[in-house]
Amino acid sequence: MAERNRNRLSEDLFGNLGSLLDAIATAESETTEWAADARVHFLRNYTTEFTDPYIKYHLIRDGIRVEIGHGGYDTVAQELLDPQSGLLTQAPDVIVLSLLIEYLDPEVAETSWTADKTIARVDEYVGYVMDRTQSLLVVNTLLPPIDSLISGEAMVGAEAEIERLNAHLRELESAAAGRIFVSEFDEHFRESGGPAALDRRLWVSSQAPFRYTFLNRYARDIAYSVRLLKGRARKCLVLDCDNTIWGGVIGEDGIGGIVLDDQDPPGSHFFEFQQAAVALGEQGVMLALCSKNNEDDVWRVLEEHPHCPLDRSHLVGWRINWQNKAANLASLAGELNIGLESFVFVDDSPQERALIGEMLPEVLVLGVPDDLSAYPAILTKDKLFDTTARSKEDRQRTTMYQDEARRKQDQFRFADLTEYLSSLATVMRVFEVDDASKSRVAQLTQKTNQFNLTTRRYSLADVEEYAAGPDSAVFAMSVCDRYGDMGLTGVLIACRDGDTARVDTLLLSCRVLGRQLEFAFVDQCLRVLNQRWGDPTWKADYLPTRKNMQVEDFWDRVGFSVVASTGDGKQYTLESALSITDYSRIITAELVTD
Amino acid sequence: MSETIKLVMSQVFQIDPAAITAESSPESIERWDSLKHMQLIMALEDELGVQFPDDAIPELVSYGAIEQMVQELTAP
Repeated sequence: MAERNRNRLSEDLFGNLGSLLDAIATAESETTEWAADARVHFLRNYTTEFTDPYIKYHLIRDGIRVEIGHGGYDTVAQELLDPQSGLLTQAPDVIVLSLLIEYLDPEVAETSWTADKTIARVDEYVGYVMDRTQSLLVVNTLLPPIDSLISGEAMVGAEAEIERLNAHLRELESAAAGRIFVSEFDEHFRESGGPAALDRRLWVSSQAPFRYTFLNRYARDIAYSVRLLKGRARKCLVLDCDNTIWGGVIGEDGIGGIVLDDQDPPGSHFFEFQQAAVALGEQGVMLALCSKNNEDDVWRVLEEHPHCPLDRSHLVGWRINWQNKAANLASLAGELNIGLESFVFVDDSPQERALIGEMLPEVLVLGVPDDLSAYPAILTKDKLFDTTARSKEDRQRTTMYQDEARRKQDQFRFADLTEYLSSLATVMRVFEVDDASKSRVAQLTQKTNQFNLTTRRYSLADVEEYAAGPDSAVFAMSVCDRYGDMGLTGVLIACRDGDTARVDTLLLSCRVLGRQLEFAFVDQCLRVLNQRWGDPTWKADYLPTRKNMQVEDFWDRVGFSVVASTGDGKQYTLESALSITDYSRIITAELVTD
Repeated sequence: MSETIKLVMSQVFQIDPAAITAESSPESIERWDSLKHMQLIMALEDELGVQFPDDAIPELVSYGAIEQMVQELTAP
């Protein structure tokens, strides 16, 4: 019963949203046994909720029950950085970073726009996901601004820059193969009919630009990553022969009579279908035959037919006999040592398909469409197969994707965040600014927006003046860990006035957040200055801007008390000692003094 | 036609079509939020083959209002 409900989910429903939603709800409520549960979370800067039905469509058919969450608009970094956020507490299987360029960087419309800042920002987001979660990541390539796609106005300069950004995303994907998946929005846009992929009305009313043709392709990419993670990606393609890999019946029509041709339809449809199967084989999918034929007839076609791409050497197994196909598939599974849930079986006969559907419900069964021109695409359009294995050589390469068992091991290895952070072997070097570092320090004060308590911008001359003065000090922090050197990524400037001292500036580059470095840095600097200035009374400020909300309670968290709070900011004083959790397990602090 | 509207509403909100009255609205149907509203509009357009005018969409927040609008759109 449950299987039948799942199979009622078909692409025919895509043109009718009500029927699709109803079929999904029915399948969800009536399915009693699920092969797996999955949780997908969108980090986004536009309305992504309309993708949900299509993700469910793809996964329910595979027996995967999925819960889908959507974060706040444009709160990607916040959700990734706040340990209390829904995102981090729920530990989704897959995080979907879903971004439109116009919200990522509104300056994209300006003629002088370059992608540098956006690339840095995306890197930051991706880095957070990699470092702070165990989730797989699906990230989309960026499209030109939706309004320009709707109006058809080309943005030549911006498009080249966006392409540079997209190339960068693809590099991230190949560098973290199996953990990061890129959803090719530009390709989906073209394949969905260009501007026809967009819904102007939904864009204006709900910030949701895409029609279902596009959303379905996007959902397919997301479903693919979930399937891989859950070990539900198909690994083996089993094909019937007569009227499936060629037209006609070889036992009756003979090798000259079957329909198979590299040029002309209908034979070309079977030819292209075989080519698609062979291409999957080259990507690491196992190919097998299961048909009711005389075995010799089949081999003769594969060896002698002039237009038969499939070759015996492509096959990992076959059952060419007159036995029941369910028994044949089961014995193939045993021989190949894979589960039936890894099989896709293609057969033109409704009786054979029904038999497998009843007897071996784990097998995904596909038929041959009446419109043969749609046939070659059936193998690839839903991204059913695990193509990460590629060649035998690649298969040996260790990648992070594969199975949950491995990820669980990883989680186990890091019982908590502290343990994970300590595994990074972070070394923080704190030093007073010198000639080599002063321009970088000035630059950081000028461009750091998020982790910046006062957002005071200083020139090189300003920095030099603070560094030289007897009643002021400029500290810098550089950080490295086992993955490499992150360089100079923190600045603290302090000034003394009699027996009080004030933290004038405290900032950290976003790249190093979430590792307790901010606390360690303040701690180290104040220790030095307490000694130098004879334990002054510390004052500090938080000056709010549009971008630094994440540090509004920073001083509270390290033990300062508010003495005045207005719309312009908060003033603090430190009444006793700093209150900072011991970080010695996760950070090795090196203080460099003259 | 009213049966069709109720059917679509029942599909989108997963409620019993018999429970839908002229006054059914976001007040009485818990799932009827702004996103579901747009899904309802799209589903109705798919099923009925009509297109609602942009400026009318935010007003279609009860069964009665939808029925009246569909009548206007499908009137010969």
